[in-house]
Amino acid sequence: MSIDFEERLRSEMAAVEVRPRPGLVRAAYRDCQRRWRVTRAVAAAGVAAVTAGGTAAGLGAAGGGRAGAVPVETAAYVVSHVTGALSGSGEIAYTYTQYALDGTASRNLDGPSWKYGDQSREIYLTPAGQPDIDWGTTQTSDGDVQLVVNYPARTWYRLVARHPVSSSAPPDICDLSGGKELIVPRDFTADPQTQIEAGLRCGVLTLAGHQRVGGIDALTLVAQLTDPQGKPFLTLTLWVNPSSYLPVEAKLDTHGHMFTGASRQRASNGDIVAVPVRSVTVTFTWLPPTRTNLALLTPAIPTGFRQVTGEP
Amino acid sequence: MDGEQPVSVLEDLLAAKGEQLLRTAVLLAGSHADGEDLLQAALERVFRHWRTIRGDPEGYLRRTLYHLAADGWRRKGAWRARLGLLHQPEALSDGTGDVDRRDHLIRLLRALPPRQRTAVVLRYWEELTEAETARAMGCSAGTVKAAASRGLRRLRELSALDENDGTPQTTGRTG
Repeated sequence: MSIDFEERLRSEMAAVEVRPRPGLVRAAYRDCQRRWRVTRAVAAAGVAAVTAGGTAAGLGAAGGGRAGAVPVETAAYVVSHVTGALSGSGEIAYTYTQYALDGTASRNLDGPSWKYGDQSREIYLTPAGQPDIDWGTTQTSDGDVQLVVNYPARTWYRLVARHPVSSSAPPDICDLSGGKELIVPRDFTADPQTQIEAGLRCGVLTLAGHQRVGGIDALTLVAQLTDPQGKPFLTLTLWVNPSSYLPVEAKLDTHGHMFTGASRQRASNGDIVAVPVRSVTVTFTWLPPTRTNLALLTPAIPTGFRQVTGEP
Repeated sequence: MDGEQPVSVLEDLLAAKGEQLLRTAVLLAGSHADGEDLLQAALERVFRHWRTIRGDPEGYLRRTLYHLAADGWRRKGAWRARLGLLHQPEALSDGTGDVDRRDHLIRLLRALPPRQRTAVVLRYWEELTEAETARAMGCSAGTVKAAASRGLRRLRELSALDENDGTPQTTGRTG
């Protein structure tokens, strides 16, 4: 009966008559152009409002809390523009991540990463600052093509992960509530851009005026998450360049909660690193997609390293 | 964005696979008009991300269709209405834009929540695996399994209800 029902559904799906409207692509293109124009106009209005709002709020340079946040309507303008900048920058996001750890770690989690389109690369460094693991990923329709170089073992492998490594999607900043035990810092820094986009989309990031960061008067967005008792659980502060609307720096403060710092992929590889993390700071640099910069997205295999079979 | 190149690439793509893509969009959205809107919204997003798309634009377009449908793209597009940019296909809708009334189950698909409908369409029409559907929808395989199962069960219930309610003999039967 079930098979019959499914077959009937499939056959009705196949029988749906459709005729694409002529000019659909052109109409979408016009919408895209129009949307950009509107976004830019709205954002320009937003900048003026934010500047006024930020000054009135009189925020100090330290802290980054929500006190003095400007009106939500104003934040929405900025949020829409940051979202647009992130999705349309066309530049390579180069980030450097630094962890403030609780106690001594035998392995460092600090390191650089690059992300561009469906390609990304992360390098983990040893406490001495030498490469530990160099991990490149390219998302394709067949799965994630991974190229991993293991420096301590002097090996490398390539594999196609056809299925998600974990049984559930990684948590994003919008899922963080109620003191969940999450691998937040690792998930966050593996792809801060996606986390930031999620935070902007679900509205947890709110505008909190201006702060001086990296030599610029950056717009500040803050997500303050509390546990069920109302105590600070996690604070994400994002500083944005007021000209390009691209992130300059992001800081994740765990308020003393003990988050582990290992990804599941690494766990399956026998390289579990469970280090309590107090805070994570990510600095952003946006690189044009030149041939040289695009080459940075692929791990280099040092001479003499042996190829091994990767984890399935 | 380089305008002409993506326009011509996507026009070629729609010339070759437009019916296939639109059928999926119509199934995901529940009506012809909404399906066209959904496809147009997905195309718009492809234009916006054109510089960062690597590889096959059809794959990106399909994934975008799935994402938008699963996320209830209509709600997300509300800001466009406020800005006066939203197309008004409803103005043209006199019922002819709806999926053919004879397509009983397809009509009932509209009654499912977006994520259930997307799971059903991706699993039973696009024939994606649970893992592929999970990746397309941005959720776990378990969630897909549950959504598709609930969606199918709900469709079966609605179908039974609809057929009973719509049969004159049901009310006229005296035993």
